[in-house]
Amino acid sequence: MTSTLTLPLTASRSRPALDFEALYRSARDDIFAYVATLLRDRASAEDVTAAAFERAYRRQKAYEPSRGSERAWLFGIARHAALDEIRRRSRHATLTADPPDRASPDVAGAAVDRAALHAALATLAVRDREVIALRYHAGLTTAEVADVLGTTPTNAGTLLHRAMTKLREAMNA
Amino acid sequence: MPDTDFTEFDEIIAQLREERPQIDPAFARELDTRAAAGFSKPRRRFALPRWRGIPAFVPATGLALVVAAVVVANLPTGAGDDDATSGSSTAGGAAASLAAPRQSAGSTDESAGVAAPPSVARSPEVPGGRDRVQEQSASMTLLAPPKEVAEVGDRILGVADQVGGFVVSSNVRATDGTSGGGDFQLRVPTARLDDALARLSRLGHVRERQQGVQDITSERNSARAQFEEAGAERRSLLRRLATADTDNEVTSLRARLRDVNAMIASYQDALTRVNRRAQYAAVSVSLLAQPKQGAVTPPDDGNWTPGDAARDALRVLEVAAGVLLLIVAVLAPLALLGGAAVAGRRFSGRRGRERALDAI
Repeated sequence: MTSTLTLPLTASRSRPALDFEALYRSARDDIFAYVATLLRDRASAEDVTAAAFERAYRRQKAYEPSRGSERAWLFGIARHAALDEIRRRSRHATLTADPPDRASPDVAGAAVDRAALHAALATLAVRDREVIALRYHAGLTTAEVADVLGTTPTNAGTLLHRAMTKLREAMNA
Repeated sequence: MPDTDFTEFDEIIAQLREERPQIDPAFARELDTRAAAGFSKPRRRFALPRWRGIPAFVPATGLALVVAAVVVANLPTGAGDDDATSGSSTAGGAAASLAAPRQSAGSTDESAGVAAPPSVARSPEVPGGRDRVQEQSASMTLLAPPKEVAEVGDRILGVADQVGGFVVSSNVRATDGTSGGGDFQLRVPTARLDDALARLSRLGHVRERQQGVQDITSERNSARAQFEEAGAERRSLLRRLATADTDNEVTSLRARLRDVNAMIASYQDALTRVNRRAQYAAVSVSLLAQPKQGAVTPPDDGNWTPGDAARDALRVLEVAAGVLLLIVAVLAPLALLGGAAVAGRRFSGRRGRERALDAI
């Protein structure tokens, strides 16, 4: 999807301005993918995505390049928003997942695989699903995943490996 | 960490990338629109009013008004207050008041050569009856810098003049810039005793101050009775003199009249003295030189000088600093509580998010 977008400038003059427009363009779909995998609810994912960008826009002056990449900072904000949504929903109702996409007859085999993947993802703990979503749905590097989770890249790789192992076991179950 | 570490998951990874959730185009357009508008968001229902819209000078002005109100409320009486009630005194004026004021002791009865009884002195409200008469007195010890002893002494004499009193005696010891002092006996109208003491108190540091009241009603009544009795006797002698037949009788009566006239004069003086004691309060002032100049309040000459202005400005700054200290004392604990609350909320939020990760 291509579009022309011009965001109001609010960056501070005292430090290198965060190119929020570029960041928004590059991360919009990735943020949604990550949040949607985490929440397993498209409507909530859209709300959380919008809220995350809104928070990031308001707080862009607080971005410190020394503390990580722009994407890691943005995903950190999205993560907080998503976890807040999970907490909010856990207080009011049980988390409900979107029904799996209805498979078309000509791609029945692929649909079965997709259904198995979705079912396996649904059985994973949020922590495991999150690290997978950050790495393979949002496309972050392992170092960026580590920044978002507040851990070391080595530990992030370990977490990712464990999550993938669990996912494979769930798919084979 | 390169993907080659996850070669065993290549197939699943490919599936995951293929199954990445896709954003809805309609939502994407809506989000783009909101982004272009700067993510303007409707105001929260329960959001507190923001300071951003209020000019910065509004809270600053409010704070300044509070400080100014407290400063004004705590300002000492200005040095120029004396001018409102009296002019400045001079040593010459004080010297002129050394003579006792002429008090009307009564009109002279020319025909009889006898003075009328002096008027009864009016004294402040006296419990126990309107005819009660009191004598008031006060003593005060003032401290002044050695170099200013002579000047303060002149001002003490000036106070007597300012309140309509007079100086009974004054004794200023020679000052060499390091020591000295003086003793002053003043008489001031009883009705203005408090005013006089207040003026004297402003001339230096008051080390000691005493006031006393003595009932002199019996003395006054006794003197008046003697005076009236002598007057009656004189009138009787005059009547007898008018009817005297012999020279011896006339001579004897005239001799008695001279004695009675002397007695009347004596009683009249006594009655006048008693009345004056009621009308004028005795004020005894001891002036001492105080070596430490810094501990002495400089004498007030009634004019508002640059020095007075500097002292007032210093006082304003002191009060303002005190007010700011109070504000800090009030706000600091609140800030600490607020900071603790914010930190606690952040910590709680972080733990809550971690729990949310573990709960599902």
